[in-house]
Amino acid sequence: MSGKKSLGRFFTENAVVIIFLLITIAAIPPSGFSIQYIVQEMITRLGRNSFLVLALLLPIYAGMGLNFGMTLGAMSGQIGLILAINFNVTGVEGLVFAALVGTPISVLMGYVCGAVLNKAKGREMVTGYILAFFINGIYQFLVLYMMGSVIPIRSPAILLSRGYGIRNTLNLEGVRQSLDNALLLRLGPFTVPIATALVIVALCVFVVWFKKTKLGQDMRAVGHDMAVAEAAGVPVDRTRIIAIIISTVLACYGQIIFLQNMGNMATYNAHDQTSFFAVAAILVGGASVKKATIPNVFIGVILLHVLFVVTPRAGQNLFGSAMIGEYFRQFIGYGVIALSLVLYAWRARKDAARAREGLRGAAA
Amino acid sequence: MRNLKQFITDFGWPRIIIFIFLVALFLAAPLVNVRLDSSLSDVINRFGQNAVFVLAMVPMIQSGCGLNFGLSIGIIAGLLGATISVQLGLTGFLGFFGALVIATPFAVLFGWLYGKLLNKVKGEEMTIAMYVGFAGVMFMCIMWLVLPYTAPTMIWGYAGKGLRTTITVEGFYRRVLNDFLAVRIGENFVFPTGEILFVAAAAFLLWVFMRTKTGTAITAVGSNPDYARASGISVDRMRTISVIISTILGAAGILVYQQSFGFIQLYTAPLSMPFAAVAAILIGGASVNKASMVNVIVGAFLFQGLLTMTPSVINSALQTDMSEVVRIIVSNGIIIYALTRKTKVAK
Amino acid sequence: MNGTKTIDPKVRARRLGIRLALLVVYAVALVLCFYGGKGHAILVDNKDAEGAPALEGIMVSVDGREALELYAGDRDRVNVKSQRHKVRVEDFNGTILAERSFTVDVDHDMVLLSVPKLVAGLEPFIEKFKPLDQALPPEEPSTGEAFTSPEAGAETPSAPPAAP
Repeated sequence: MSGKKSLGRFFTENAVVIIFLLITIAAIPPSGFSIQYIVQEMITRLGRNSFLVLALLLPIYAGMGLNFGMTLGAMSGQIGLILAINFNVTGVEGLVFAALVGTPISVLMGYVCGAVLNKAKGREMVTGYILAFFINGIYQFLVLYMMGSVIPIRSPAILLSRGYGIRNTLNLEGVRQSLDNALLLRLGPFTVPIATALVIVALCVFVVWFKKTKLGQDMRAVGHDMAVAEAAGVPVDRTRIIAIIISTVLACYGQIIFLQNMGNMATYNAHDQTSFFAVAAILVGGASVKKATIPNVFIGVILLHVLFVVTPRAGQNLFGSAMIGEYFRQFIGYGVIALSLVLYAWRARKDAARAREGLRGAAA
Repeated sequence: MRNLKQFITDFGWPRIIIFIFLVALFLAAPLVNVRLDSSLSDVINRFGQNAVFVLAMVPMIQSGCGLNFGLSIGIIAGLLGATISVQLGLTGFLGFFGALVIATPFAVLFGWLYGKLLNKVKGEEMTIAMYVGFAGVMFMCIMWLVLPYTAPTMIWGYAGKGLRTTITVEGFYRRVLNDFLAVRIGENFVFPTGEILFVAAAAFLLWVFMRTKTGTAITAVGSNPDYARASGISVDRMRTISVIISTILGAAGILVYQQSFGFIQLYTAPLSMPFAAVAAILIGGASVNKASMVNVIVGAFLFQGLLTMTPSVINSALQTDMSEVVRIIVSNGIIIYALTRKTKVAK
Repeated sequence: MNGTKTIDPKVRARRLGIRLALLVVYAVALVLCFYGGKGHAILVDNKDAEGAPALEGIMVSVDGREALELYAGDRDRVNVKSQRHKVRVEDFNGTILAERSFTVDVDHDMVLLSVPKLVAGLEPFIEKFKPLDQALPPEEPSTGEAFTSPEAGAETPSAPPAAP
């Protein structure tokens, strides 16, 4: 009996992963891509996206849900890159320069975000999402109107022809794939960017280590039950702010890694879908609003991106329209987020109801 | 003095700042050669265009479902009504009201499903509503490509199938409400009587409904679900009804918008529409769990006034187009303000 | 919570010290990256210069990289990072004509290195290069709405991102 029950439990708990796996496997053959192509593509995309997705972990530990405010960090990273391009700082140094410039900005942004979310306990996710829109407005004000007019920009090539404001697309030639190419490993038919992989591994080690520190333990306590943590002397609000600051700073670095791989930056759009892809990936990997692990991140990135690679071509081959595949993958992305949020909220309610019943039974 | 302080805390600083900003814009308009009468005409027209969307926020806020970030579900129903009406070749008032009649069953169905879903996720409605709305819009993107529409004005000419991104309603129901009994004063001012009448009728109907037995039950569910349950009201049923009404209003809202704007916008266009409506009702003084007709009218007017006046005045004054940035900061700023107020979240 | 606790002055001093040290490390790292990563384009030029006619056929190697073959009147470009560099000029037989190190002003993104001057021992053989009319890449029209919608969070499918 218990075997059957635990199997059922396994399916309900991993419903998102299983559904996603089935869709992905079904979409591979009609795309006509070779496995070798897909594997190489996955290696590239793991390097490109994992860091950003890992940035989501700490706020989940702290019980703040999915940090849609990570977009703030992405914007900080972009400001760093704009300045690196402006001063013509190239190579890995250029990336470090961008990261150094982005760090204080993202710390500030993380603090703002954390403080705002502390005022919106219980609806952190929607608040973070709107906050990203709000800061996007300020980012545009800064980059589109202030840069070149109030903030001096020395390289006229990155300015719009009207004399101020950064161009819509920025060529990151000086830093393009400088981290990826710093150390390349040829493994049979595949190319592996070892330096990028090392950075990602280092972040994983950091996360594992951080969970064991006093602060990490506090975070878990806060995530488990804020009232209990408060009673035990954990500074709840402060701990939550720190979780968001670290996440924002990591998102800043993650966006820099992402963009150096892409090689171009859509100045005003590059951050738009950052949180969408990261959140969809971690959820596809089997994480929930309250629980996420490092394996969730990598499983999620692989699953989501296999689907993203194959659907446009599969749509083209099956329906004669690449747009269908394009819309389909967006639908799947949003659908997965909605589905896992629904499943989580639904399960939490059922658990709460069961707990209530148990309490009543005990009282009677 | 105390009264003033009380008024300010009730109304909230952001709203007062926005109000003063809007007044300043109106005062500054003549100085930068922006005509007041045509601006006012624009504001009223856009108020009518968007007020029904804002109205759609009320039932769900009142029933405790929070801000309807999933308004796009209703918009999709409206788009189905609009495209089917054009496909059938209905024109004029028949076209508009035909679209409304066709859209309603879709809205009821979608709203019912959407409401059932939201009942399962109490406390997390807003985030989930947003993503359900997004997913719905993307799903319909695929549908717009594959559904068997044939009217030549709507489908892509070269492919012979799939709906266009924007479809003109010229010759169908463009401006049927706007031009109905429209009053023209001077050269630049037109009062869109029909549109405003429609908005007023919708607002009045909702106002009456909220005072019926069902309506008061909905408010009771929102303000105190335990008490409502104790007095024999089915919480889930009332919430579902409020979601259905919100969805129907969303469908009607997009139709009013289209007849005035002149185009049916398909595909990803509905994605951003709920945010404007949410911002508007919050600017009008609503909170996450309380909203009234006054909030709707004040909010729609202030928000649309801001959207109309900022570009014309700021652009003429500074010679640059900063209106988008102002819009983004103001509308999202006010949503954040409302979300961070200390309010009792109805569970 | 923390604020109410009395902190040992020793701990406080140590904290302050650590913070200051971090600040210094940050500043140093920023400066190192700036100078070390600063990119310069060196235009290696083999044209007639004042007092030094162009050389017949030479091989020019910057920082030991693959040599450039330059005939009289040629010009080629090398991209380098940081400011101190070495240049070696040989003729086609492998005879070294000149070997020198030089520094580029950190503010000059593009400099002209005149090989004839270098070989003739004339200073300065490096000067800032100002392109006559900078041909900017064509600019996409900046429309008011194309990129400014905040809800563009999801609005890209009409122009799908190349690779998300």
